[in-house]
This record gives sequence, C-alpha cells and structure tokens, in this order.
Amino acid sequence: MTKLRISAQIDRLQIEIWDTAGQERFQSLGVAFYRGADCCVLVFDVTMPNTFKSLDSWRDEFLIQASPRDPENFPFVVLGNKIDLENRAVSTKRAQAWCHSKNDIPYFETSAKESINVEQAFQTIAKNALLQETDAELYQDFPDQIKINQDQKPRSDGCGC
Amino acid sequence: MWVKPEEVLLANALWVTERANPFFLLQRRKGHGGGGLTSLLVGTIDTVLDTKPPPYRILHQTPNSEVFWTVSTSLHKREILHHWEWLEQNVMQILGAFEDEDDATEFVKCKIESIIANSVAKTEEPKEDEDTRIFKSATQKWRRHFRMPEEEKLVNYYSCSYWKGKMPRQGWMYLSVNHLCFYSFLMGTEARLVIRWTDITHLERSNSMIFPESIKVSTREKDHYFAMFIHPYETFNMMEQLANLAMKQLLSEEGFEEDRSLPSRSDIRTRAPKKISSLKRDLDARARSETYRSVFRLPCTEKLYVVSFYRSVFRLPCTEKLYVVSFYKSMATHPGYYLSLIEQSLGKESIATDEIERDLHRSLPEHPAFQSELGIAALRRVLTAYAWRNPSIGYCQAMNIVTSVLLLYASEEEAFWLLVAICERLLPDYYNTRVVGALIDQGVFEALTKTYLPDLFDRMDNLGLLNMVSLSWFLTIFLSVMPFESAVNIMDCFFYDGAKVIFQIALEILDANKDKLLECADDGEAMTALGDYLENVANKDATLPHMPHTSAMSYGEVVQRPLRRGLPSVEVSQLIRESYIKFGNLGNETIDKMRFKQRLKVVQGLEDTARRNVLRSVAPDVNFNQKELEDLYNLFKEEQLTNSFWSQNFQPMDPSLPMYAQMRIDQEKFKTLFLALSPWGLGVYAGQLANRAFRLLDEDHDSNINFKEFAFVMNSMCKGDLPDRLRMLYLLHMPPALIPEDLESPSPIEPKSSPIPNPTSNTDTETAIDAAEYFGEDLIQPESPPISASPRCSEAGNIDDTQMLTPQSSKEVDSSSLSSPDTGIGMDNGSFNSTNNVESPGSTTPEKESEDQDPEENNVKDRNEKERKEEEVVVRDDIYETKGEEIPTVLLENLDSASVASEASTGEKGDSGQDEESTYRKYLRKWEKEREEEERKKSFKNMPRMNQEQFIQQWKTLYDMFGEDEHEQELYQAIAAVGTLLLEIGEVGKQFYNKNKNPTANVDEGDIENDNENKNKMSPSDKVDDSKEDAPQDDSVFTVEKGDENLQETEQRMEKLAVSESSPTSEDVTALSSVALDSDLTSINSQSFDDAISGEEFGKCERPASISSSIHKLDMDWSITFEQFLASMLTEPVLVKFFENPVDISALIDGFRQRRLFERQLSSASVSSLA
Repeated sequence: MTKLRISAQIDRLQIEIWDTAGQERFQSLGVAFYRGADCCVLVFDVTMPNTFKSLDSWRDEFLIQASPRDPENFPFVVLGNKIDLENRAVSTKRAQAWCHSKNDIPYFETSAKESINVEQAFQTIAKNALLQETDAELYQDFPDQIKINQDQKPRSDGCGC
Repeated sequence: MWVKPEEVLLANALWVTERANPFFLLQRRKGHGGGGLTSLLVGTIDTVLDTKPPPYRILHQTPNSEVFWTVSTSLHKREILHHWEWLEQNVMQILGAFEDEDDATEFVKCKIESIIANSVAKTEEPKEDEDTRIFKSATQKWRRHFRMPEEEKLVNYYSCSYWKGKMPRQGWMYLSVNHLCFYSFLMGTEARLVIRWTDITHLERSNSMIFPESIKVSTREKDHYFAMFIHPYETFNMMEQLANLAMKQLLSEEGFEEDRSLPSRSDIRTRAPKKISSLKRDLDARARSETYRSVFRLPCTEKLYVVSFYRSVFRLPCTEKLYVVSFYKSMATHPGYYLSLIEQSLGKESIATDEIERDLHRSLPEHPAFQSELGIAALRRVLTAYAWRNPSIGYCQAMNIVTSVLLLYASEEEAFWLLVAICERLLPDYYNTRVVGALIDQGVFEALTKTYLPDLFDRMDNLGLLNMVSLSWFLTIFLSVMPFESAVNIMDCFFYDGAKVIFQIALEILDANKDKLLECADDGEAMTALGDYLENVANKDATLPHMPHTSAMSYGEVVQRPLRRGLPSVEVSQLIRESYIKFGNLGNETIDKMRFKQRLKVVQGLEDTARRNVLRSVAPDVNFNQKELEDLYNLFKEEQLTNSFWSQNFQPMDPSLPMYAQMRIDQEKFKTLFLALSPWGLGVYAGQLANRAFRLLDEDHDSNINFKEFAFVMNSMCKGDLPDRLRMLYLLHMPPALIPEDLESPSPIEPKSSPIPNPTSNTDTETAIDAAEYFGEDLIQPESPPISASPRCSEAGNIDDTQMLTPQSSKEVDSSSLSSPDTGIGMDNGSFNSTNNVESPGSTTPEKESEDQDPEENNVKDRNEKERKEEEVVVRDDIYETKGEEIPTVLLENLDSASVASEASTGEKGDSGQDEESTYRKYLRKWEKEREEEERKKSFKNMPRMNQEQFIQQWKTLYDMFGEDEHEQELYQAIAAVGTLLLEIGEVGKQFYNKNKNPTANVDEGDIENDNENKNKMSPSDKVDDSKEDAPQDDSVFTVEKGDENLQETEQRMEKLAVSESSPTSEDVTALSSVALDSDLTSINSQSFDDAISGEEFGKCERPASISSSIHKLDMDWSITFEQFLASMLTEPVLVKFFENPVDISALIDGFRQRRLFERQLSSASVSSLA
C-alpha cells in the first residue's frame, strides 16, 4: 500500500501527484484519491505483460470512481516504464495501438531509473491537465453515470505499476 | 434418558428407592416388575391420571435439602443404571468439593441441561415443553406462509406492526437466518413481506412522530417501518446481528478462526432447532461472547471461561493487561506452530509470496535492521508464515510495515503471534481481500468526527479528506505516517487499549490541527498540513536515533519542501495524553456498535461497485440491454447467496479473479435458472438440457459456472441471432455437453411408469421418443430405399478440422459445406455463390468428387444389395443433374417452406438472386462474420461433426421444446422435415466416410417389421398429402445419362481444386441425393408424429426400451456438420421464426420471482401484497 503525494513546481505550476497503486485489494479505495483529479497517469512495466493488460481495468476503475463529466475525453497519459531493462515484453507498437484505441492517449516510454523521458512525460501531463476545465465543471455530483456499453475488455489481474 | 431437572416434592410416594448416595437416588416405580396389588394400584392411578411415567428415575438431592430434582428417567433398568454409574464416576467428586449445597444443585442442573442440549442435537428427540411446541407451531406457520425450505431456520418471531403508508398493520415479524419476514392477516386480507438480510442497506431504530418507537429497514428499493414492538431493543439487536452475519456472507468471507463452537452458519444449517429459539440463544451467546471478547480483546478461541480462569488464577482485575495474558497463552498453547508453518510454507510460491518479496525491501528500509539479509529474512518468514496460516488474508500491504516494527521489539515468533493478534482480533477484517475492516473504520471515524468535531467535519467532508488520510493511519497504526520511534508508543497503547486508541489519536490529530485545517483551500493543502504535523511528532525518550519514516524520505528525495523546516515538534506522549483526556471516554464497545452499523453500508457499497464492475465486463459480450443484464445479475446473485445459505460446500473466492468470475453457482442452481428462463426450458427433457448446458459451460470442471458464462448461454438462447442459437443448440448435443450417460438412458422420464400431469408434455414425450425410435431404427436400415446406394462424397470430418485452423480456409469450406444442404433442399449453388461471391470452387467440387467416389463405392457393395437398389441409384444420379433446375424447387414447395425456399430457388435458377437479400443469406453472412470473430475469441474452437446418437438427442430436444408455442403443429412438421433431410444427408455422407462398411449388416427381422409398419403408415399419406412429391421422383428417374455427364464435369473441376483445402466437401451431392428421399421420409415422419399425437400408435412409439435397443443398432458412420444443420433449419420459416424470436428476459425473471415467492421455496427481496 503506497500512497504517495508529491508536490512539484514546474514553471510556477504546482502539481500534486498521487500514487495510489498497490495491491488489487486497494483498487476499490481509489475513490477518495481520484476525486477532482485533472489527469490520470497509467503506468505499466514493459517487462510485465500483465501490467499492460490491466491498464484497461485501471482506466475503467478510474472513470467509474472519479466520474468525470466527459469520460471519453478525460486526459490520460500512459507510461511504459522500465525501458532500461533488457527483457522487454510489451512492444512499443502494441502499447501505442492500445493508446490509440482509447481516444489517442499520449504514450511515453520511460525509465525512472535512468531518468529517460520522465521530464517530457510530466510536461505533457501538466499541459493536458491544464487544458481541462476547473473541478466544478469536470465532475458531476453523482457518480454512476458511466455508460455500461463502452467497448471494454474484461479486466485482468495485476496492477498497473 | 436425561431430563431437564424438575422439582419433586414427594420423592417417595409411589416410588421405591433402589440405590442412594449423598447426592442422588435411583428409584423404581412401585409395582413395576413386581406384580401384585401395589402394581395394580399404581397402574390404575397412573391410568386414571394419565401420567404413566417411565418406571425408573434418578433424583438429585443435597443432604440438607427437602427438594428433589429429577435428572433422569428411563423405561429400562439398564439405561438407568448406566446413568447412575456415570453420575457416580463423573459428578460425585466435583459435588463433594462444593461448599455450598445450592452451588452443587446449580452445578447438577447445568450439567444435566448441557447433556440434554448435546443429546438433543444428536438424537433429535427433544423433550417438548410448552415453549417448544409454541415455537414449533410458529415455525410451521412461518414455513407455510413464506414457503421456506427446511434448510432455512427461524430464529425468533415478534409481534409488531408494519407501516404501510400511514396505516399500521398488526402482524408477526419472523426473523430467520437469511430472511426477515412479516405476515399479517387482517379483515380477510393477507399481507406478506420478505426481505433478505443481504439486501438490507440500513437498519435503524427511530422514534419520530409519524413512526413512534419503530425500526426502519431500508433496502435499495424502499424503506420499511416496523413498530409496536414489545421488546424493541431485543428485536433490534437480533436484527442487527442477523444483518451483520449476512454482510459477512455477502463478502463471502467467513472470519478466519471463526468461533466454531458458536453457531457458525454450518451449525445453523445442520442443527434442527427444535427447542425454542435454541438458535436465538446461541446468537445471544455469541453476541455476549463477542462483547466480552471485545472488552478483553481475546482471541476467538478463548471464551469467557478463559477470562474467569485467569481472573481467578492471577487475580487480575479485568481491565489489566489481559491481552498480554491471552497473547502469551496463544503462543504457549501452540508450541512449534510457527516453526511448522515456516516448514510447510517453505518453497511454496503464490501471489502472496510474490507480493511479499516485492515489499521486503520497502519495509522500514531506513532502519539498519532491514538493510541486511538477516532482518529481511526474518520479515519474509513471518509474513509468509502468516499468509500460509490464513489464506483468506494472505498478504496485504501494510502488514509488512507493522511486522517490521514488531520484529524490532520482539522475537520472530512473538512478532508472528502479535501479527496474528492484530490481523484477527484487534483490527478485524482490516487486511482481508477487500480491506473491509479498514473501510468500516473509515466510516466509523467519519461518524466520530461528526460527533466530536462537527465544524471540522463539515470542512473535511467538503474536501473529501477524511477517507484520504485515515486509511494509512488505520492500516499501519500510524507507523507509516509518523517517525516510527514515536509511532511505536501509540502502538503500545493500541495493544493495551485496543482499536479505540487509533480513533482517539486520529481525532486528536485532527483537533490539534483544527485551525490550520479550517483555513485550507483544498485537499492538497490540508494533506500537507497534516503531513507536516505528523512528521514532527517526536519522542524524546526514544532509544533509537531519529529516523524519518519511509514516505518522509521519499518526500525529501523528490522535492524540497520548504514548509517542513522549523516546525515545532510535538511530543508523542503529549499527543497520547491529550487524546485520552479529550476522547478517552470512547469505548471499544461503542466502536464495535458503530462498526456494526457501518458494515451494512460498506458491504452494500462494495456490492454496488462489484455489480457495476461485473456488468461492465460482461455487457460488451452480450446483447442484453442494461436493465436485462442487471436483472440477470440480481437473480444470479440471489442464487449464489442461496447457495452459500444452505449448501454445505462453501468455497472462498479467489480475489485475484475478475469480479464476474467470483460470482458462481452450482449445477442445481443453474438448472433452476435455466428451467425458469430459457426459451428451451419447457419440455420434459429440459432438465437434461440444462445439465448439458452446465457441462458445456463448466470448462474447468469445478462444478461451478460464473456469471459471465451464465450470461453467455442465456444470451445465446434468448438474444442471439438464429445461427447463434442454433450453434448453441448444436453444441448442447455434443461432448462435453453430452455425456455417455445421456445416450445410455435417453429418456429421463418413462412415459409409462411415471404419468406426467401435463397432457401437452406427455404428448411431447411421445413425439420425441417416437422420433427417436424412428431415427434410431428405421434409418439405419440399409433397405430404406435410396440410402445405401447414394453416390459418395467428401470426408467432411477432416475438412472440418482444417477449416477451423485458418480463417481463410474455414471461410471457404464453410461455404462449400454449407452449400450442400442448400442444394439438397433446393437452394442451389447460385444462391450460395451470390453470398460468397467468387467462391465457386466450393459449390462445384462436391459433384466432381462424388463422381469420383461413386464407382469405388459400388465395387465395395454387396451385389445383391446393388441389384436390389438399382432403381434408387438411378434416382440419385439423376438428382445430381437436376440440381439447379425444377426438381429442387418442387421439393421445396413440398417441404412447405414457402417464402425462404422459393426465394432461394429463384436465386439458384437464374443466378439472379445476387441482389436479393433473402433471410438465410443474411444469416449466412452474419454467421460467417461471427465465425471469424468467434475464432478469435476462442469461445468455441471448432464444431465437430455430429453423429447419429447426438443427432437423435438433439432432435428429441427439438421435439420437446415447442410444447407451448402457438405454432406447435407447424413446428413439429417443420422439424420432422428438417430431421428427415439431415438424416439423409448424414446417411449419404457416411458411405463416403467409411466405404468398407457394409450397410446391410445389421438388418434383422424386427427392423424389417418396423420398417414395414412405417411404410404402411406412410402409404396413405403419400397418396393423400404428399402427392406432389411423387412428381420429382418420377421426373428424376429418366435423367441418368445427364447424371453421367455431370460426373465427368465434376471430375474435371476436382482436378483444379485438388490443391485447395476446401475441395473435399462434396456434400451438396449428398444433399442432392437426399432430395429424392425427402418426400418419403417426411411423410413417414409426419405421419408417425400424427399417430403419436392422436394416440393411436402409442404402443409402438413410446417404449424407452425400444429406444435403447435401437441404440445398439446406431449407425456409427453417420454424421452431419453444423453447417448442414444450420442450412437445413433455414429452410423452414417456422423454425427460423421460432429461433429468431427475441425473449423478454426481464419478464421471465419477474415471473420466476413471483412464482418462487409463492409456489416454491425461496423468496427474493420482493414484496408481495404489501408492496
């Protein structure tokens, strides 16, 4: 169970970053953390295919819990992390295809360890978050309005980070 | 037998004492066994007074008391002596030790009562007293009113009134293990209400003007008010307790180490509570015991006696560190347990061990102890051992942090037992698969904040902050948010005083930061404020150097946070003291009560989330709309719960599975639902069909199917398009759905021996069996005219396999094999080609190949046979060539398939059908598309050929399922026609399949007789009804030469196609040849069907024996493909309509609920007349 909060100052913009990842059993607890988010960053491990597969379920979970007004256009960013490792198991193409299918989510391949692409990724995250309107308009008061027929695959196991 | 001790005043009247000791007397009834006057006298008295007591008894008496107590009576001397000896051996000594005689008597009474209680459970021969009788009759009434099954046990009942609108209705509230029921009968109006505990979202005692002194019961649908209770408090407590049990059940999580001796659910299930409210007593006891446990924070296994034991031995006041005592006792009473766990878990890998491994290096990494392999290894062992001990929790993040701190202060084994204490007693359910305990405590914390810090609460609630902060506070007992040398002090208090400490500290933290928090603009600011405060909680007495905790470290690394510097630090002892002063009156009991209430909310909330999750993952794969799917879900959930209510084999769910896979039902439940909801679930074979469907779905053979599978099969039957439904039907008559037992006992019911109440279904049975008999016997007869000589065709079996491998080839082959029945029936290549555009090979191949085979086949044939059949051969051959011309058309008309067929034949004739979107072509296209999709999904890997046995079963099913359709008759006709057609297709196909088999081998007299009968039957119909059909036959006779030409043509084509995979399917030839037969067989079939309906020929048709005998003669070479089946079905508009008909599943579900509520056992959360 990690719940990390980082305040960062980039170009006089303060970003609050919440890391809510953890075991499957904490997934339903996200609601408190998702509320009012301006952008959702989904991170998977390029060496672990199951973490990639579960992106769908995390995205769903976020949309359900956070209930943004316009779920289809809510800003997501997907990061394929650990590209410094050799045993890569999720191809760039595959990840890009998925992102493309989800309304063109920006995709970055990063290495936190080697600090590859992290800066760029967070610039994009900040930019996309800024493009969003303010909280009041972004969220509706009552959750529950996710359309049930979205084209989504069944969730799989594993966590996104 | 032992009896409940009762006072006896005159111990010696009419009784003779035979044995005596200071505490007991053994007496014999005067006159018993003695004879003589006394015997007579006493006997008379007994008779007159109608007493007739058993002749032997044991009385208890203390030396200085006048009062005697019966403890045992018996009809036999041996039994009474046995009891006597038992008393002398076991009880006497103890009694002697009592100083006070009253105590001795009390002891005897308790002892005897407990013996009785035990033996009641065993022998189920309770001695009825008045209360028992009343309770029993109430139970009976309740069962009658609500149709509750035996498994459901009544706990208690109360007189009360139910507020319907503004009118109270007086009646009885019945509380059973799984349901709350209310019944009233007033002024001739009956009213019933049934609510499942699992549906209750809120329970509240309220006292408003409108509903004075009432209990409010809320479900998702509505609120119910009950009032005028005699003992509202008791009633409410009982309700709360039952609702909480239900919540635990809803989570599918029985608490680990649940107190087995108290009424766990299985006890409730197995025990027959004949004694008045023995269940209620148990539940009361459980509640009491839980209260004590919470006061003393004892492990579940240590009930009250432990407390009193330690109190008496150590003279500990009950508020002292009993926890410590019980903790050491756990360890002392389980020597070697920890080591054995380590040994058992060694080398076993699981999700838990994976997750543990990942977290080992982030548990207190700043502490030197966990920077070496030594400390890491100890941590790994403790966590792994715990995961092994309690798989229902396994490993939950946060346990690593707690354990690492424990390891700093205690030995490894002690740390383990402390972890056990935390996970299973101090923080119940915290770390389970849905961290329910923590969620509940978040709710409790919110409620407490509202009470104690109302102004702050409003602000915090606005920011949504409470839930954000409290989770890690609770889960790690502040270890992850404070410097841990400070947090350990809180942990000490927590061990000493229980969970209340966490709450009071949490409240104090909020209170201390009240001003700052009220000023915060957003949640981030508030979090920062709290974070800064917590990081600066110091401990000046700490023996360890100050170490910032984990997350503080990461703060520092990532960002420089100016705010942190120079903040005043708070002493942890100060914090603790303040918390005790301000919030120390908060008791553990209060918290437990609040947890009770929150549990309902949290669990139902999780249920809602789960539902959304499941629906979301299932919806894309089915055609149900949301409402329908939701209805299905609810019904399924109910069944699943009922499963765990009453069935013994309760299995915990695997939390790593997707939600929908965690919802499972067994075969029985599935059958119930299938019969209630399936459009095919009407006939007498429906049960069997349900079983097959279950086997089909239960791929992993775990005897359960999950919701997605259920939704899938329901979708196929109710909402699928025609090919989809037919495919399902086809698969239901194939292994694994079909098992050998089905074939061996083809009729689940025996029409003769077990009369079926419903006349319609009776007829159905006859029909089905009739059909089976017909198929089974007549068709295998080599003599049945055209079969044996039919020209040979493809080895479709092989082809089918290849088909499935590559989508490309399968497409081709599909088309070609599809074309065969088409042509046979009269839908020709033309129409087929129009569907598939360029795929001419598919349609042409067959002819050629069959040509090829024909000579060979003839060689193999028995000569006599051949001679006899010459005529038929001729017929067949000519059919080839007439393909695409008049004959098929005529036949089609004969077959009564008006629109579709004629369209088809038109298309065939002129090849002009390309622009015509006839129904079946639409389907073919759709179906093909779907096939490809299907392959991707791998839901069905391939469709094997169907053999004759399977075919017969399938046709039985079909005959069975039209019983309630308005077009019943037409459907029977149609299915008979299609059946005949398919039989012929298969028959013709088989000769290609196995050339060496001599088809005449099996003929015997019986068959011939039968055959004759059938022929007789058919002859009139031939003349009267099917005169048209004679025409094509006649026509066909003279076309032999043409046929030869055709053969040559085919040969040429075949050469071209030799390379292609699709080439072998020459089944349209097969089908073609069958055309000639259609007329005859159809008439036979419909004739015998008519016979069955009219009942004239019952004797011949109905005997299961004849079916099973026919099975021996089944033609093992016979087979058809799904494509043939589908295409043949498409020729009958009535059938097409039947299998296209959308099913209103919601209406069916409603109907099922209503029926079940009143006719059948179980009830749902619905309200009948009260609604």
